[in-house]
Amino acid sequence: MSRLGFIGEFEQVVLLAILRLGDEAYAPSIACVLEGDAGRPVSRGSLYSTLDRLERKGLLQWRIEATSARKRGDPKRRFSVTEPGIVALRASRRMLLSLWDGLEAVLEGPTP
Amino acid sequence: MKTGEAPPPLAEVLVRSLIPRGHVRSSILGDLREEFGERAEREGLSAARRWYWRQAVTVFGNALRDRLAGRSWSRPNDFGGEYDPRHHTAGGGKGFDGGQPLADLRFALRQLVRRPGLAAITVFTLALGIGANTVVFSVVNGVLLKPLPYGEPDRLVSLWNTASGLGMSRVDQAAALHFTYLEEASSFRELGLWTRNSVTMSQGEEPTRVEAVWVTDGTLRALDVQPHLGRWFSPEEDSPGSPRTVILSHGIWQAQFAGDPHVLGQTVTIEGGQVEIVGVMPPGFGFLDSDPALLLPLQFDLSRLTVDGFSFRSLGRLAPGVTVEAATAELDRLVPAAIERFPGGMTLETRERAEFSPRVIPLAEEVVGDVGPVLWVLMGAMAITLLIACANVANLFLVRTEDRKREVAIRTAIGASKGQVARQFLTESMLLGLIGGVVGLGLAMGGLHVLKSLAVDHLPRLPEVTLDPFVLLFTLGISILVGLLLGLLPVLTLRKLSPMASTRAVGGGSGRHKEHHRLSNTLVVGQMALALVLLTGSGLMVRSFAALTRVNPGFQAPEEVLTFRLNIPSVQARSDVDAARLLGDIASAIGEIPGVTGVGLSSSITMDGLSANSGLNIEDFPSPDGGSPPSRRFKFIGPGYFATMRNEILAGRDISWDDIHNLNPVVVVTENLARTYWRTPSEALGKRVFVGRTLAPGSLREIVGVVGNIHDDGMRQAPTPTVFWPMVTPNPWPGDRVEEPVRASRSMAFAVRSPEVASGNLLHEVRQAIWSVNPNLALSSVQTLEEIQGRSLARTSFTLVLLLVAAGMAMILGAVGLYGVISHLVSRRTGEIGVRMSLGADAGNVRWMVLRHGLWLILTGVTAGVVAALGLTRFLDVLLFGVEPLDPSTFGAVAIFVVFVALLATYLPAHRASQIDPVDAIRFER
Repeated sequence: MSRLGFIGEFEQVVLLAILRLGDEAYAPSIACVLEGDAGRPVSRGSLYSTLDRLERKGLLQWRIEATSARKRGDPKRRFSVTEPGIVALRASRRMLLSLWDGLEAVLEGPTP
Repeated sequence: MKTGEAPPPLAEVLVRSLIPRGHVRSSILGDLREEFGERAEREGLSAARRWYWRQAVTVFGNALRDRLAGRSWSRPNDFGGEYDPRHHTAGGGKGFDGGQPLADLRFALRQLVRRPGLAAITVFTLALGIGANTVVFSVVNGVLLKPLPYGEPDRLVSLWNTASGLGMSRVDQAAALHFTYLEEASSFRELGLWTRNSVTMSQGEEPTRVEAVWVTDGTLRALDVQPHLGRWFSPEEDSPGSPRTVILSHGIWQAQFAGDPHVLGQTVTIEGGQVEIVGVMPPGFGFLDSDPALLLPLQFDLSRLTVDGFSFRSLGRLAPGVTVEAATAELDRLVPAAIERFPGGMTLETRERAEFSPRVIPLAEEVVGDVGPVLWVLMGAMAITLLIACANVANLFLVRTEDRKREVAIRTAIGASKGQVARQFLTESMLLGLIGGVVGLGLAMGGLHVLKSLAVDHLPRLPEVTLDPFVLLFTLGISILVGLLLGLLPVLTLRKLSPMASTRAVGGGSGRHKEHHRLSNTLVVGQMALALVLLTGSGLMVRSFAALTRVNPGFQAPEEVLTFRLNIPSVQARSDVDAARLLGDIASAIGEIPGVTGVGLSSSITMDGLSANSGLNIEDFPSPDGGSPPSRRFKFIGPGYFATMRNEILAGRDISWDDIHNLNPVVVVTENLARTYWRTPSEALGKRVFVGRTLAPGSLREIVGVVGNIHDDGMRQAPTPTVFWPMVTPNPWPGDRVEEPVRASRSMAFAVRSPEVASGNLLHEVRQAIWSVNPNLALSSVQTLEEIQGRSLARTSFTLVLLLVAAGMAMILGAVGLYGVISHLVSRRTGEIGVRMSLGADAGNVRWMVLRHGLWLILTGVTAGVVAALGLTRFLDVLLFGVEPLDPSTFGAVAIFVVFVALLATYLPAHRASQIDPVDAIRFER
C-alpha cells in the first residue's frame, strides 16, 4: 500500500459516500450524497474522473447491473470499496487525527 | 421519459466523444439520462437541459485531461460494445463481425483514439511526406503536365531557326520569312509574329513603364482566345500608317479604368502618341509565360523587308492532320522563296554556309523550356522522402503489431476469420493514410505558397501551379497507396498466425520475433540508404552552388549597384544622337547625387538577359574563303561603365567622352576574345576589327582596351566573348542594316554604384535627378545588380533548397527510425541485458552489444545507399556545376555524416541499455 500514499480529500469523500450507500452505490446516488450530505456541488465530470482514478488505484471496484429500471436498459455500475480502499481510508483518518491532536485549542476556539 | 424529455443529443455526443465504447460509457450515459429525467420532472425541462450541458462539458473536459495523461475511462477487458440486451442473444463471435465496413471504420477510429501519441506521430510523418509530394507534384502538374490554357493547345507550335554552320542553335524569326510563310505555307491554320518590349504609358499625371507584347493579327487568332471586350487586331492594323490601336489587359483595365465598360474608343498616351483602345483581354489571360499590360499591333512595311533581323518570335496553329515534321519540311522548302521575294538580306549562298534551317516545336516545350529535369529530380527526391516516411511508420506498425498479437489472438480465438482481422488492419492503415493525406494537403497549401515565392522568377507558368482537382486526385492516390502499403505489412507478418500460435502469443513469448525483426531491420537499412542518396544529391548541389558563387561574373560588390533602363521617345529628342546626349546629361546629374561613386551606361547590363550578337572580323585573321566570321556579343557603352561595374581593365583604357563626342573608331574587347587571337591582352591593343561581309571604307575599329571576362549569359555559362562599342559611334554596319551614318541607342541601361542602394532612398534621388533633366521620362526594369545575379543562380538555389529540405527530412526520419528500432531492441532484450549484467557484464559491454547491432544496420544501409547514389546522381548531371556526379569527396563526406548521425541515434538507446538496473530488468522480464 505504501506506494499509493495518501488519498486526496475528494477521493476520501467519494469512498466514504460509497461506504455509506452500501448496496445503493451508483454514481447518481454518490453525487446525491455529496451534494446533499456533504453540501458541496459536484460536477459529473470530476466525479467520473475520480471514480476512474480510484479504480485504477485499486481502491474501489464496480460491477455491471443490467437494470430494468432504466427504459433503455443501459447498464448501471454499482461501486464498492475494496480492502485496499478501506486500508487507505484508515490511514488517512489516522494521519488526520494525529495532526488534529493538540490543536483543539486553536481550531475550536473563536475565529480570529 | 418521454421523447421530448431526452437529453440534448449534441450534449450526449460530447459525453460519448472521448469515452471509449463499453460498459463505462453506457453506464455514464445511463446515469446522466436518469438524472436528467428526474431533474426534468423536478425543475422543468430547460433547467434539466442546462444542467445536462454543464455536466457534459465537465465530463468532456475531465475525460480529455485524463486521456492526455494517458488514462482512458475504460478497461482493456471492457470491449463489450454498447450494452444491448438484444446483442447478447445473437450468435457467438458476432461482436467481432466486421461485416460492415462502417464497423471496421468505427473500430479503427477507436484504435487511433486509444493510442493518440502513435496516431499523431504516424499522421504527422505521413503528412510531411504526402504534403511535400503534393507541393512538388502541383508544380510538375502546373508546369509540365497541364496543357497550355488555349484552345486545342497540342496544335500550337513555336517557329524559329537554327544556323549550325555559325554554331547557333537558336535563331529567332525574321519578318520576311514570316510573311512568306503566311502567304505560301499550307501547314498552318494561323501564324503570328510577336515580340516583347516595355512602353511608356501616360494615363493621368505620371508616366509609367509597362510590359507590352507586340503582335501581328494572326498571333491572337492562333491562340484561339476571345477578347473580354471589343476585338482582337485586324490584318489592316499590321501595316504602317493605319490608326494606332491597343488592347488592354484585364488587370490594367480594372486598375486604371476602373473596369469601365465604355472604355472602347477612348485613347491612352503611349510613347507620346494617342492610341485608341479597341479591346480588353479576358481575365487570367497570360501571353505564353508573360503577363503583359498591353497588346500592341506589330507593323511592317513589306516593301522594305529583307531576310534579316532575326529578332522576332513566331507561333502558329497547325492545320488539322499536319505533323510538326511535315510543317518543318514545308518551311524549309519556302526559305528560298523568301530570299527571292525579299532580296538584300540572306542569300542562298550564305544560307547554305550557315546551314540555316527552320525549326517547328510544340509551343508547350517552348514555354516550359528546360525546367523539366529539375522538376523530375525534385519529384524523385520527394518520392524518396515519402518512402522513408512510410518505412518509419511501417516500423511503428510492426512494433504495434507485436503488441496487438494478444488482441488478434483473442479475436481469432472467438471466431474472427483471418480475413476479418486483415481487413481491420487495412482499414486502420488506410484511415491513417487518408488522415495523413488531409493534413498533408494542409501543409501543402502553406508549402506551395513558400515555394511559389521562392520560384517566382525562374519557373514558367507559375500562376497555373495550383492545388487543382488533378493534384487532389494525386494526393488521394498516394494517401491510399501509403495506407495499403502500411496495412499489408502487419497483415503479412500475421498471415501465418494460427489460433494455436496466437494463443501462445497471449502468453507473451513468441518465436516470431526474428521474422518481425528482420523486416524492421530491412526497413531501417532501406531508410539509411535512401537518406544517403538524397544527402549525396544535396551535397552535390551544395558544391555546385559553392562553385557558382566562386565564379567571377565580371563585376564586384553587386549589392551596391542599382540598375534601370531609360528609353528616350522621339518626342523628347528628335535624333538618336540627341537622345544619347540627353542620356549623357542624365548620367552626369545622377553622378552628382551624394554617395554615388560611379554611373555607367550600357545597351545591356551583364546577365540582364538582353543580348545582341553579330559576326566580328579581325583584320589580321580574315575568315577563310570570305565565310561568316564567328558571332560575338555586342554592347554599346558610355564612359565609366567598367569602373561602375568594377570590371578590371587588363590592358589599355576605357571608352572616353572624347571617343563619343569625336566619333573615334575604337572598341574595347573582353580578355577571352583577345586571347582567341593573341597571347596576352596587351598584344590586342592597336589591332583592328570590322563588321560586315566585306571591309567597307572607314569601318575598321581599333582595340583600345581589354577588360576582364564577363559571364553575360549567366554564372553557369562560359564567359561570353564581347565587344564594347562607344554608345555613339560611326555606324558599324555601313550601307547594311541601318542607313544612318551614326549609331546611337535611345534605350540604355544605367548602372549606379552607391553604398546607399540598400536603403532604398537612392531610387528616389535618382528619379529626381532624371526629372531635373527631363520630367517626361519613366524608369523601367529597376533592380539591383545583386538581384540580376541572383536570378542567374536562382534555379540552382531553388533546386538546392528543395533538395536540402527533402534530404533533411529524410535524415531526420531515418535517424528516428533507427532510434526506434534500436530502442525496441533494447526494451525487448531488457531481461537478457539484466541477466548479462548480473553475470558480470559491465556498462561498456552492454553499450557495445547494442551499438554493434546498430553499426551493422548503419554500414549495410550506407553501403546500399552509396551503390544507389552511384547510379542515381547522374540524373543530376544537368543541374551540376563544377562538380562531377560521382565526386568522391562529396560521397565520402555524406557517408561519414550519415554514419555519424546514425551512430548518435543508436548511442542514445545503447547508453540507456547500459544504465539498466539488473534487478529491475529481471523483474520486468518475469
